[in-house]
Amino acid sequence: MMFQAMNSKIILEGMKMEIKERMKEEILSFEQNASRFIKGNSLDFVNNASLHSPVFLKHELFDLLKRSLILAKLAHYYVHPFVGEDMKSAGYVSSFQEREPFMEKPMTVSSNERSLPFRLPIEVLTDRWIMKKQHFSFDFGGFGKGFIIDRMKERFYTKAENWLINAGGDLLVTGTMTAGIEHPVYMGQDMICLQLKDAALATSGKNYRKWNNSHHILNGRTGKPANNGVLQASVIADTVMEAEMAAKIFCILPFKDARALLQKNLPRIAYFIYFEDHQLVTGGNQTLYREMEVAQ
Amino acid sequence: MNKKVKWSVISVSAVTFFTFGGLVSKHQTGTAVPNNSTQNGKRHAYQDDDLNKDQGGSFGFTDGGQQDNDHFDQGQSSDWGQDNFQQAPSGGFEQGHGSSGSSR
Repeated sequence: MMFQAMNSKIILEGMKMEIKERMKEEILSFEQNASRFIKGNSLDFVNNASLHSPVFLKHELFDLLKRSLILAKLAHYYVHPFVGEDMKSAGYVSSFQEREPFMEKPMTVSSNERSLPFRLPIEVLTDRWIMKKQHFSFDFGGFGKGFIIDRMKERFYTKAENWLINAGGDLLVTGTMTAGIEHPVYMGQDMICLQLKDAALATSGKNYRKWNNSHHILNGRTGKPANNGVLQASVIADTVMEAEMAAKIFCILPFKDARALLQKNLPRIAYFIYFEDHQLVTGGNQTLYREMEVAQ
Repeated sequence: MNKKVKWSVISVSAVTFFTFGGLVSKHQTGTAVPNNSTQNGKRHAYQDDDLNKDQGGSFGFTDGGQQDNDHFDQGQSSDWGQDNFQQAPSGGFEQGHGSSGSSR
Protein backbone atom coordinates (compact mmCIF):
# COMPACT_ATOMS: atom_id res chain seq x y z
CA MET A 1 0.00 0.00 0.00
CA MET A 2 1.20 3.49 -0.83
CA PHE A 3 -0.25 6.84 0.21
CA GLN A 4 0.77 10.41 0.95
CA ALA A 5 1.00 11.70 4.54
CA MET A 6 3.27 13.93 6.62
CA ASN A 7 4.63 15.49 3.48
CA SER A 8 5.99 12.09 2.44
CA LYS A 9 5.19 9.01 0.45
CA ILE A 10 4.30 6.20 2.88
CA ILE A 11 4.85 2.57 1.86
CA LEU A 12 3.44 -0.30 3.91
CA GLU A 13 4.51 -3.82 2.97
CA GLY A 14 4.25 -7.30 4.44
CA MET A 15 1.34 -6.88 6.83
CA LYS A 16 -2.27 -7.98 6.29
CA MET A 17 -4.53 -5.56 4.43
CA GLU A 18 -6.62 -5.00 7.55
CA ILE A 19 -3.51 -3.90 9.47
CA LYS A 20 -2.45 -1.66 6.58
CA GLU A 21 -5.84 0.07 6.62
CA ARG A 22 -5.66 0.64 10.37
CA MET A 23 -2.10 1.94 10.09
CA LYS A 24 -3.08 4.31 7.32
CA GLU A 25 -5.96 5.62 9.41
CA GLU A 26 -3.71 6.21 12.43
CA ILE A 27 -0.93 7.85 10.42
CA LEU A 28 -3.39 10.23 8.73
CA SER A 29 -5.04 11.01 12.06
CA PHE A 30 -1.63 11.68 13.65
CA GLU A 31 -0.78 14.06 10.82
CA GLN A 32 -4.02 15.96 11.39
CA ASN A 33 -3.11 16.45 15.06
CA ALA A 34 0.64 16.97 14.93
CA SER A 35 1.49 18.82 11.72
CA ARG A 36 2.43 22.46 12.17
CA PHE A 37 1.06 23.20 8.71
CA ILE A 38 -2.56 22.40 9.64
CA LYS A 39 -4.35 25.37 11.16
CA GLY A 40 -6.69 24.71 14.08
CA ASN A 41 -5.30 21.29 14.98
CA SER A 42 -4.01 20.15 18.39
CA LEU A 43 -0.47 21.34 17.72
CA ASP A 44 -1.67 24.71 16.46
CA PHE A 45 -3.61 25.13 19.71
CA VAL A 46 -0.46 24.48 21.76
CA ASN A 47 1.66 26.67 19.50
CA ASN A 48 -0.72 29.58 19.99
CA ALA A 49 -1.16 29.12 23.75
CA SER A 50 -0.33 32.07 25.99
CA LEU A 51 2.81 32.17 28.06
CA HIS A 52 2.68 31.09 31.72
CA SER A 53 -0.72 29.41 31.39
CA PRO A 54 -1.25 25.66 31.77
CA VAL A 55 -1.84 23.92 28.44
CA PHE A 56 -3.34 20.45 28.14
CA LEU A 57 -1.88 18.07 25.55
CA LYS A 58 -3.73 15.15 24.01
CA HIS A 59 -2.27 11.80 25.00
CA GLU A 60 -0.53 11.19 21.65
CA LEU A 61 0.98 14.66 21.50
CA PHE A 62 2.22 14.43 25.07
CA ASP A 63 3.79 11.04 24.35
CA LEU A 64 5.51 12.50 21.29
CA LEU A 65 6.78 15.45 23.33
CA LYS A 66 8.02 13.18 26.10
CA ARG A 67 9.99 10.93 23.75
CA SER A 68 11.31 13.90 21.77
CA LEU A 69 12.58 15.61 24.92
CA ILE A 70 14.43 12.54 26.10
CA LEU A 71 16.18 12.22 22.75
CA ALA A 72 16.78 15.98 22.56
CA LYS A 73 18.57 15.80 25.89
CA LEU A 74 20.77 12.97 24.64
CA ALA A 75 21.48 15.13 21.59
CA HIS A 76 22.59 18.04 23.82
CA TYR A 77 19.65 19.93 22.28
CA TYR A 78 21.39 20.31 18.91
CA VAL A 79 18.18 18.64 17.77
CA HIS A 80 14.93 19.51 19.55
CA PRO A 81 11.26 20.15 18.71
CA PHE A 82 11.14 23.87 19.61
CA VAL A 83 12.33 25.04 16.20
CA GLY A 84 9.03 26.15 14.61
CA GLU A 85 9.89 29.85 14.66
CA ASP A 86 13.45 29.24 13.45
CA MET A 87 12.06 27.14 10.61
CA LYS A 88 9.78 30.04 9.65
CA SER A 89 12.70 32.49 9.87
CA ALA A 90 14.69 30.18 7.63
CA GLY A 91 11.85 30.35 5.11
CA TYR A 92 10.18 26.99 5.76
CA VAL A 93 6.70 28.44 6.11
CA SER A 94 4.58 26.02 4.15
CA SER A 95 4.47 22.33 3.40
CA PHE A 96 6.70 21.13 0.56
CA GLN A 97 3.67 19.29 -0.70
CA GLU A 98 1.93 22.61 -1.31
CA ARG A 99 4.78 24.54 -2.88
CA GLU A 100 8.41 25.42 -2.54
CA PRO A 101 8.89 27.26 0.76
CA PHE A 102 8.68 31.01 0.47
CA MET A 103 11.80 32.82 1.51
CA GLU A 104 11.52 36.48 2.40
CA LYS A 105 15.20 37.25 2.20
CA PRO A 106 18.18 35.14 1.22
CA MET A 107 19.83 33.54 4.19
CA THR A 108 23.45 32.70 4.45
CA VAL A 109 24.09 29.17 5.63
CA SER A 110 25.97 29.40 8.88
CA SER A 111 29.23 27.71 9.54
CA ASN A 112 30.84 27.11 12.89
CA GLU A 113 28.61 29.61 14.62
CA ARG A 114 28.99 29.59 18.35
CA SER A 115 26.46 27.28 19.95
CA LEU A 116 24.16 29.06 22.33
CA PRO A 117 23.24 27.72 25.75
CA PHE A 118 19.90 25.97 25.64
CA ARG A 119 17.08 26.52 28.12
CA LEU A 120 13.96 24.38 27.93
CA PRO A 121 11.16 26.85 27.03
CA ILE A 122 8.45 24.81 28.74
CA GLU A 123 7.71 23.54 32.18
CA VAL A 124 6.06 20.15 32.47
CA LEU A 125 3.49 20.66 35.19
CA THR A 126 1.99 17.19 35.46
CA ASP A 127 1.28 14.33 33.14
CA ARG A 128 -0.16 15.99 29.98
CA TRP A 129 -0.04 19.58 31.27
CA ILE A 130 2.73 21.93 30.25
CA MET A 131 3.37 25.66 30.54
CA LYS A 132 5.20 27.78 27.98
CA LYS A 133 7.89 29.91 29.57
CA GLN A 134 9.06 31.58 26.35
CA HIS A 135 7.59 32.29 22.97
CA PHE A 136 8.20 29.38 20.58
CA SER A 137 6.32 26.97 18.39
CA PHE A 138 6.76 23.25 18.07
CA ASP A 139 7.96 21.64 14.87
CA PHE A 140 8.40 17.95 15.56
CA GLY A 141 9.64 17.25 12.03
CA GLY A 142 11.56 13.96 11.93
CA PHE A 143 10.69 13.25 15.56
CA GLY A 144 7.02 13.13 14.55
CA LYS A 145 7.55 10.87 11.58
CA GLY A 146 9.77 8.55 13.61
CA PHE A 147 7.30 8.54 16.48
CA ILE A 148 4.34 7.39 14.40
CA ILE A 149 6.32 4.69 12.57
CA ASP A 150 7.68 3.29 15.85
CA ARG A 151 4.18 3.46 17.27
CA MET A 152 2.79 1.41 14.39
CA LYS A 153 5.16 -1.40 15.34
CA GLU A 154 4.32 -1.11 19.05
CA ARG A 155 0.58 -1.12 18.29
CA PHE A 156 0.25 -3.77 15.61
CA TYR A 157 3.28 -6.07 15.55
CA THR A 158 2.37 -9.27 17.37
CA LYS A 159 4.00 -12.17 15.54
CA ALA A 160 7.18 -12.63 13.56
CA GLU A 161 6.52 -11.27 10.07
CA ASN A 162 8.59 -9.39 7.55
CA TRP A 163 7.28 -5.85 7.55
CA LEU A 164 8.48 -2.71 5.88
CA ILE A 165 7.20 0.75 6.77
CA ASN A 166 8.87 3.44 4.71
CA ALA A 167 7.85 7.04 5.40
CA GLY A 168 9.64 9.20 2.88
CA GLY A 169 13.00 7.55 3.44
CA ASP A 170 12.70 6.85 7.17
CA LEU A 171 12.03 3.17 7.45
CA LEU A 172 11.43 0.37 9.86
CA VAL A 173 11.97 -3.30 9.13
CA THR A 174 10.75 -6.31 11.07
CA GLY A 175 12.21 -9.70 10.25
CA THR A 176 14.98 -9.70 7.67
CA MET A 177 14.74 -7.44 4.64
CA THR A 178 16.99 -5.71 2.15
CA ALA A 179 17.14 -1.94 2.31
CA GLY A 180 19.10 0.69 0.43
CA ILE A 181 20.60 4.09 1.08
CA GLU A 182 19.94 6.56 -1.69
CA HIS A 183 22.82 8.25 -3.45
CA PRO A 184 22.58 11.96 -2.52
CA VAL A 185 23.95 13.04 -5.90
CA TYR A 186 22.54 10.40 -8.25
CA MET A 187 19.10 10.52 -6.67
CA GLY A 188 16.83 7.67 -7.66
CA GLN A 189 19.64 5.14 -7.20
CA ASP A 190 20.89 3.46 -4.03
CA MET A 191 24.60 3.79 -3.27
CA ILE A 192 24.51 1.15 -0.52
CA CYS A 193 22.51 -2.07 -0.17
CA LEU A 194 22.08 -3.57 3.32
CA GLN A 195 20.40 -6.50 4.90
CA LEU A 196 18.54 -5.38 8.01
CA LYS A 197 16.95 -7.44 10.74
CA ASP A 198 14.46 -5.81 13.11
CA ALA A 199 15.95 -2.36 12.70
CA ALA A 200 15.21 1.22 11.72
CA LEU A 201 17.04 3.24 9.08
CA ALA A 202 16.73 7.00 8.67
CA THR A 203 18.45 9.50 6.41
CA SER A 204 18.83 13.27 6.69
CA GLY A 205 20.36 15.36 3.98
CA LYS A 206 20.88 18.80 2.59
CA ASN A 207 20.30 17.68 -0.98
CA TYR A 208 16.53 17.82 -0.74
CA ARG A 209 14.02 20.21 0.84
CA LYS A 210 16.28 23.13 0.12
CA TRP A 211 15.57 26.56 -1.27
CA ASN A 212 17.84 29.32 -2.57
CA ASN A 213 21.03 28.73 -0.65
CA SER A 214 19.36 27.24 2.41
CA HIS A 215 18.07 23.87 3.64
CA HIS A 216 15.83 22.51 6.38
CA ILE A 217 18.36 21.06 8.84
CA LEU A 218 18.75 23.60 11.61
CA ASN A 219 21.26 23.56 14.41
CA GLY A 220 19.02 23.58 17.49
CA ARG A 221 21.56 25.61 19.45
CA THR A 222 21.92 28.42 16.91
CA GLY A 223 18.57 28.24 15.12
CA LYS A 224 20.43 28.50 11.80
CA PRO A 225 20.86 26.03 8.94
CA ALA A 226 23.81 23.78 9.70
CA ASN A 227 26.88 23.59 7.53
CA ASN A 228 29.38 20.95 8.59
CA GLY A 229 30.51 19.53 5.27
CA VAL A 230 28.07 16.61 5.40
CA LEU A 231 25.67 16.28 2.48
CA GLN A 232 23.75 13.27 3.76
CA ALA A 233 23.77 11.04 6.84
CA SER A 234 22.03 7.69 7.24
CA VAL A 235 21.77 5.86 10.55
CA ILE A 236 20.60 2.40 11.58
CA ALA A 237 19.18 2.17 15.11
CA ASP A 238 16.59 0.22 17.08
CA THR A 239 13.90 2.83 16.51
CA VAL A 240 13.18 5.36 13.78
CA MET A 241 13.13 8.22 16.30
CA GLU A 242 16.64 7.36 17.43
CA ALA A 243 17.88 6.89 13.86
CA GLU A 244 16.36 10.24 12.82
CA MET A 245 17.92 12.11 15.73
CA ALA A 246 21.35 10.59 15.14
CA ALA A 247 21.24 11.30 11.38
CA LYS A 248 20.43 14.96 12.13
CA ILE A 249 23.31 15.21 14.61
CA PHE A 250 25.70 13.97 11.90
CA CYS A 251 24.34 16.73 9.60
CA ILE A 252 24.82 19.43 12.25
CA LEU A 253 27.99 18.88 14.28
CA PRO A 254 31.53 18.44 13.02
CA PHE A 255 31.91 14.72 12.31
CA LYS A 256 34.28 14.01 15.23
CA ASP A 257 31.99 15.75 17.72
CA ALA A 258 28.89 14.03 16.37
CA ARG A 259 30.62 10.67 16.57
CA ALA A 260 31.79 11.25 20.14
CA LEU A 261 28.42 12.48 21.32
CA LEU A 262 26.54 9.57 19.79
CA GLN A 263 29.04 6.93 20.84
CA LYS A 264 28.48 8.09 24.38
CA ASN A 265 24.73 8.74 24.37
CA LEU A 266 23.30 6.47 21.67
CA PRO A 267 25.81 3.67 21.05
CA ARG A 268 23.43 1.23 19.32
CA ILE A 269 23.75 2.85 15.92
CA ALA A 270 25.60 2.30 12.66
CA TYR A 271 26.20 5.26 10.33
CA PHE A 272 26.85 6.04 6.66
CA ILE A 273 27.99 9.61 6.08
CA TYR A 274 28.35 11.23 2.66
CA PHE A 275 30.50 14.37 2.75
CA GLU A 276 30.28 17.28 0.33
CA ASP A 277 33.75 16.37 -0.95
CA HIS A 278 32.32 12.96 -1.98
CA GLN A 279 34.00 10.98 0.77
CA LEU A 280 31.90 8.19 2.25
CA VAL A 281 32.42 7.14 5.86
CA THR A 282 30.84 4.06 7.42
CA GLY A 283 31.13 3.10 11.07
CA GLY A 284 29.45 2.52 14.41
CA ASN A 285 28.00 -0.76 15.57
CA GLN A 286 28.26 -3.02 12.55
CA THR A 287 26.31 -5.83 14.19
CA LEU A 288 23.15 -3.83 13.44
CA TYR A 289 23.18 -4.95 9.81
CA ARG A 290 24.10 -8.22 8.16
CA GLU A 291 25.50 -7.52 4.74
CA MET A 292 26.59 -4.35 3.06
CA GLU A 293 27.29 -3.79 -0.61
CA VAL A 294 28.56 -0.44 -1.86
CA ALA A 295 27.97 0.50 -5.52
CA GLN A 296 30.93 1.18 -7.80
CA MET B 1 5.82 5.01 81.27
CA ASN B 2 6.21 8.53 79.99
CA LYS B 3 9.79 7.75 79.07
CA LYS B 4 8.65 4.69 77.05
CA VAL B 5 6.08 6.74 75.13
CA LYS B 6 8.67 9.43 74.50
CA TRP B 7 11.17 6.93 73.08
CA SER B 8 8.47 5.28 70.95
CA VAL B 9 7.57 8.65 69.43
CA ILE B 10 11.24 9.42 68.81
CA SER B 11 11.85 6.01 67.15
CA VAL B 12 8.79 6.26 64.89
CA SER B 13 9.70 9.83 63.90
CA ALA B 14 13.28 8.85 63.14
CA VAL B 15 12.26 5.86 60.99
CA THR B 16 9.71 7.99 59.11
CA PHE B 17 12.27 10.75 58.55
CA PHE B 18 14.96 8.42 57.20
CA THR B 19 12.49 6.54 54.99
CA PHE B 20 11.17 9.81 53.55
CA GLY B 21 14.71 11.15 53.12
CA GLY B 22 15.74 7.98 51.34
CA LEU B 23 12.79 8.15 48.95
CA VAL B 24 13.43 11.80 48.14
CA SER B 25 17.11 11.30 47.41
CA LYS B 26 16.32 8.23 45.27
CA HIS B 27 14.00 10.28 43.09
CA GLN B 28 16.34 13.23 42.86
CA THR B 29 18.97 11.35 40.97
CA GLY B 30 17.33 9.78 38.00
CA THR B 31 18.48 11.96 35.22
CA ALA B 32 20.46 9.63 33.07
CA VAL B 33 18.61 7.55 30.55
CA PRO B 34 20.65 4.39 30.24
CA ASN B 35 21.08 2.87 26.84
CA ASN B 36 22.40 -0.41 27.94
CA SER B 37 20.03 -3.01 27.47
CA THR B 38 17.49 -5.15 28.91
CA GLN B 39 14.61 -6.70 27.11
CA ASN B 40 15.60 -8.77 24.08
CA GLY B 41 19.01 -7.19 24.19
CA LYS B 42 17.53 -3.90 23.04
CA ARG B 43 16.50 -0.82 24.87
CA HIS B 44 14.95 2.28 23.38
CA ALA B 45 16.39 5.53 24.60
CA TYR B 46 12.85 6.59 25.46
CA GLN B 47 11.62 3.37 27.02
CA ASP B 48 8.56 3.98 29.18
CA ASP B 49 9.83 2.55 32.45
CA ASP B 50 12.53 5.22 32.49
CA LEU B 51 9.92 7.86 31.89
CA ASN B 52 7.72 6.61 34.68
CA LYS B 53 10.64 6.61 37.04
CA ASP B 54 11.39 10.16 36.01
CA GLN B 55 7.87 11.48 36.34
CA GLY B 56 7.05 14.20 38.76
CA GLY B 57 6.69 17.05 36.42
CA SER B 58 10.02 17.13 34.72
CA PHE B 59 10.68 13.87 32.82
CA GLY B 60 13.80 13.69 34.89
CA PHE B 61 15.06 17.00 33.53
CA THR B 62 16.78 17.89 36.75
CA ASP B 63 19.16 20.01 34.70
CA GLY B 64 16.10 22.12 33.95
CA GLY B 65 16.49 21.26 30.29
CA GLN B 66 19.65 23.29 30.15
CA GLN B 67 22.69 22.66 28.04
CA ASP B 68 25.68 24.94 28.23
CA ASN B 69 28.77 22.83 27.78
CA ASP B 70 29.98 21.57 24.45
CA HIS B 71 32.50 18.99 25.54
CA PHE B 72 32.32 15.87 23.46
CA ASP B 73 34.12 13.17 25.38
CA GLN B 74 34.71 10.00 23.47
CA GLY B 75 32.24 7.26 24.36
CA GLN B 76 33.32 3.84 25.51
CA SER B 77 31.22 1.57 23.32
CA SER B 78 33.26 -1.51 22.51
CA ASP B 79 30.83 -2.39 19.71
CA TRP B 80 32.14 0.41 17.53
CA GLY B 81 34.93 -0.48 15.18
CA GLN B 82 37.20 1.81 13.21
CA ASP B 83 35.57 4.11 10.68
CA ASN B 84 35.97 3.15 7.07
CA PHE B 85 36.72 6.07 4.71
CA GLN B 86 36.36 5.64 0.98
CA GLN B 87 35.62 7.56 -2.20
CA ALA B 88 31.85 7.70 -2.72
CA PRO B 89 30.49 5.58 -5.57
CA SER B 90 29.70 7.32 -8.82
CA GLY B 91 26.65 5.23 -9.53
CA GLY B 92 24.11 3.12 -7.74
CA PHE B 93 21.77 0.17 -7.55
CA GLU B 94 18.19 0.14 -8.71
CA GLN B 95 15.88 1.20 -5.88
CA GLY B 96 13.24 -0.95 -4.24
CA HIS B 97 10.59 0.12 -1.72
CA GLY B 98 13.07 -0.10 1.13
CA SER B 99 15.18 2.84 0.10
CA SER B 100 16.23 5.47 2.61
CA GLY B 101 16.94 8.94 1.33
CA SER B 102 16.62 12.54 2.48
CA SER B 103 13.07 13.31 3.61
CA ARG B 104 10.61 13.67 0.76
